[in-house]
Amino acid sequence: MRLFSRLLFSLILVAFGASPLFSAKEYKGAVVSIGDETYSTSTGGYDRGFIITLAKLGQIGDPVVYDSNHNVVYPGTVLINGFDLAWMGMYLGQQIATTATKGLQGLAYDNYLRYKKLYQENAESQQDFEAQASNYAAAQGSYAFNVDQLAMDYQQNIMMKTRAQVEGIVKSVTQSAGSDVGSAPAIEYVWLNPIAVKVNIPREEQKVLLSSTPVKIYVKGQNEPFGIYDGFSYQAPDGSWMIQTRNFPVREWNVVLQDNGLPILREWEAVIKFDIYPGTNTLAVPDKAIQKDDKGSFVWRAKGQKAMQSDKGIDYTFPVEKVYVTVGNEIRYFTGYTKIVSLKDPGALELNDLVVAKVKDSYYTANLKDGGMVIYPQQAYLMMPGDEVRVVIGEGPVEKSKAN
Amino acid sequence: MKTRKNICCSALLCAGLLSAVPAMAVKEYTGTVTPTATSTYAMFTCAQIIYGNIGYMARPGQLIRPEVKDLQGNLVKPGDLLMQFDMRYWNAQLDELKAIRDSAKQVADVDYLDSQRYKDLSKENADSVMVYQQMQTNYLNAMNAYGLAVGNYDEMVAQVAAYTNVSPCEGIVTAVNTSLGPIGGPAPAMSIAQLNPIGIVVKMSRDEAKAIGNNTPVKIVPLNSDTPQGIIYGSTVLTDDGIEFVTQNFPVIEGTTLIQDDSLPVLRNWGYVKRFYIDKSPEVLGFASSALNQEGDKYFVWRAKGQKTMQPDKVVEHMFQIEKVYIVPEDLYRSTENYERIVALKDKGTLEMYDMVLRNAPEGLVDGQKVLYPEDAYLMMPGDQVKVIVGN
Repeated sequence: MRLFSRLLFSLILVAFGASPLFSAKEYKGAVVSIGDETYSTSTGGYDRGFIITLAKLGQIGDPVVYDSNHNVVYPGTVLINGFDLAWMGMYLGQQIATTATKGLQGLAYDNYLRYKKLYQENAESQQDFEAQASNYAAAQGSYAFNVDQLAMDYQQNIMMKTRAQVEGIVKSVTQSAGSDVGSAPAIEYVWLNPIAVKVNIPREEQKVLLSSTPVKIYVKGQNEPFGIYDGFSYQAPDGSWMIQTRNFPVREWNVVLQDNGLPILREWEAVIKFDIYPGTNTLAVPDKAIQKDDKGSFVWRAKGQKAMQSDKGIDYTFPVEKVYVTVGNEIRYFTGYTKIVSLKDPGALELNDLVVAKVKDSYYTANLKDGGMVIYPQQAYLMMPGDEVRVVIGEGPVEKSKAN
Repeated sequence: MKTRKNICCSALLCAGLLSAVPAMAVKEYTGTVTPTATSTYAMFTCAQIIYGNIGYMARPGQLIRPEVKDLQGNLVKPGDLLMQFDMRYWNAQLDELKAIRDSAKQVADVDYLDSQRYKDLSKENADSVMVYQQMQTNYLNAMNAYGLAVGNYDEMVAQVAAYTNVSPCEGIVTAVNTSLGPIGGPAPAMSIAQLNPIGIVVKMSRDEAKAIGNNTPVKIVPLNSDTPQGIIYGSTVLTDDGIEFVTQNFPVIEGTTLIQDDSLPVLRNWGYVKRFYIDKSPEVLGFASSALNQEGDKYFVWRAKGQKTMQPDKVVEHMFQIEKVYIVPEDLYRSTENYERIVALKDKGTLEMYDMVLRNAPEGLVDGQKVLYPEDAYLMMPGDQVKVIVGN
């Protein structure tokens, strides 16, 4: 009996020790982004920033991947393709200057060695030798300065192309190509992964939340709940509780995109008329849609898919086909951020056909095969800012929170 | 067995059809036409000439088109000019930097020749190695200077090109916030809104918005039109309180009548003859200096035949002939409104007050030719309420 009492007491202690202090409650959560970036293209030079192309509204962005030398391995999504001609001119000029100062350094070194020998043989004075040593040191400094300046100019050129650094979506576009923006915002880019869920929890309940308190997020259309990134929760300035969780790109609104080996292509454009008037006949495609092989120029077309149809949308998965075209000799901006090129012969291409518009980055199209299937997913992640989700905090039977 | 097979096949077929057809039932909404992109220009520099000096501005409400170039970058069809600096300062600076670059190149070339000559002389012991190396030093110093001059010039070429802003898209000038002349500071000068493609914003719950996938058909019926059009599927985005579709848009002659082609020149940029002075010499007329054309030593304008602005009982037609009117300009200019510079007329020829004259005339116009002067509008304009039908 005594033993039984002890065991019972121990069990009660263990049970209490393991129990969360927070009994399970359900709240409404609002999905919010943890990062909302605004990019402009302004620089500190005479060149206030000039834009060649911009990502379009609603574009889902992939982050760039670099190697350890900062070379681009995976191009990611280019948000702003800046005008680098001014900086390129400086770079090319600096290359000439750097080559010249390298030669000067070599000459100064020769003189230094010669005067050193002459000085050692008492054929020249110590003063003249030191003057040559000084020249050589100055030439070394000048060359090193030019090398660094060249590296700076090179970096400046690279920086004119702004690539997405995180998974996100273009929320607004407030500039066009060619704008001399003078530090005005060009693109608003909202992070999508990780994503935050904002929960209005009374302060007294927040105080008893522990990092060990289990949290489940229930997303509409998903059977299983999602956990959160422990240790990343915090109290927002408005008093609400912010939790962070992993987010996923979707194929359709509530269907998470799985890697089944099919290429995932997000950047498509419709075949349009080159001229702005609908009665004209010349067709056009984005210049970045044109590819070349041994047989000539071609585009990748989404088979059986068309934009601008009033009775039919487009599929999420479909085959792509190579369509050979003859490029015309005219190019213009279509939107304020994409360029189109006229087609002298569109081949089998028709108005409103969808074509892949990102083929210059060979990464995306290296694996495309004529007739091969691809995925054109919804431009969305599973949880989008503004979504409402259910959040269950704590363990045990769920009780609705009075706060919601 | 056969019946069972048929039933199975039918069931599979039905299931297949059901899965292929989006589940969205037809629902009608009201959408608001909204540009998918706007652009604000703040044209200024940090150069010695404080902030810059504007020489040209497009007018508020002007419809704008992008330029067409060939693949080599040569201009094929000019676009509409939005803003341009007064280029005199910049062209002078460009000339200066070009002269420095060319001079540096010549100095380097001469130094190279010297260096080669002294190389030969030192080989033949006619001069010392040291002198030869000094010549090499001169040459490399000259190349260093040349490199910097190349960089400075190329930078300025690109920069000067950037001081002319041409419309990057089909759009409309929505605001002009600065006048011709010196720029007050780094404040916005002009805003434009893109008109094609155009957004259609529909308010709806998030649940409704997320029921509309890329495979859900959507029809847009423009205001005062019975003709529906589709959307650019895949470009749809969620908004804070609904969804935004993107569709194509077209310039109109008026209402919902589209301009089918440009077999007749589409000319939108008209000014009018007005008094040059504000409160004296009413007989002295003037017009926008951008309407002035030169033919040898003669000056002329393109006038809209039979059309006058400011008439209370007669409107301007959408199609009319143009005629060449020779005039003699005075060497007198002033600004009017905040975007236009007018020139005074010494001899107005047959021009009369309120005659309409073409600004920035394209090349190739012919006397007596018919032209189109459409409304400054597209089929769908920002703020229009349109019918949106979602689903099958």
